[in-house]
Amino acid sequence: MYALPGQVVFVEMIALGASGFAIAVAAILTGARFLPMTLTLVPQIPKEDRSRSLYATAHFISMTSWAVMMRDFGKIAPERRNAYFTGFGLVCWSSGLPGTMIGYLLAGHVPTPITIGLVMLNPLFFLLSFTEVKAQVNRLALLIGGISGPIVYSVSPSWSILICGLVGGSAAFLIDLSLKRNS
Amino acid sequence: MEALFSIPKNSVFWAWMILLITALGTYSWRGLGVLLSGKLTQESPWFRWITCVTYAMVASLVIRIIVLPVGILAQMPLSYRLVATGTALAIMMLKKNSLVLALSIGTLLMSALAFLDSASR
Repeated sequence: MYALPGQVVFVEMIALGASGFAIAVAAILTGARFLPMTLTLVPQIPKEDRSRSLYATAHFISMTSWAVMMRDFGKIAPERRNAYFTGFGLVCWSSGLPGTMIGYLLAGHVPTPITIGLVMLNPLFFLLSFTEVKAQVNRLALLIGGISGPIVYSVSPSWSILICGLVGGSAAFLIDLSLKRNS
Repeated sequence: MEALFSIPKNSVFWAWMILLITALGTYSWRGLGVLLSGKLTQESPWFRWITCVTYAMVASLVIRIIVLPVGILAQMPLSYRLVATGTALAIMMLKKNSLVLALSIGTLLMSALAFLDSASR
């Protein structure tokens, strides 16, 4: 299972003694973000380069590869994007698997402050990569999503990502549309 | 129903089965994305809308993790997390192509604050 938030939910619910059915449903739901993420990456690859092999390489879609592809696809010739994505994904997997094993062996031997810094690395990377997003409409979506995220989460933790994405993203799309019509 | 799916405390086999089901379910979102993107092109307004939805979704998750974290990050006061985040963002804004620098300083700053916090207790 290549998805950190899903793994966290899985382990936490096992620790709480939840039923297997509840664990599977909760962890699978946290992966729902991969659907829109895939839907925004694949159309940027030219149709003639898309084949059934995408069902295999789709495993490489993660927050990291998505953020990097969204940043770099614009600078890369369309016919090279599929190769770039596949290569990047392979590097992530081949460093992630031994990284997981080393992390498992080191866990408990690392001082807590170092662990806290490393845990912070993850959200910081995504936040910093957002500053490179160019299109106005997407910047607006980031802003609305970011502000509403913690607010909606305090009301409904399990549905907050979906609500913020659908409502916030649609709002940004419509605001941008009306701004363009008026200008 | 509930009893049928509950993991018996000593059953390693069922725990692995649940993990397998979860892994397949997690992948299915990606596979479904490939399936549905079949006719979608970059120029389509649907594509632009889904891009907005995805950015809003990811931003809400990232800001939530920083402001309202669960687990070990929650042991640190909000002010520490905001200082580390703000510093990294400022470096990123002031200096071009400084992602690695900004990320390293933000992470080190977070560790340093956590270290000072544990030393002062």
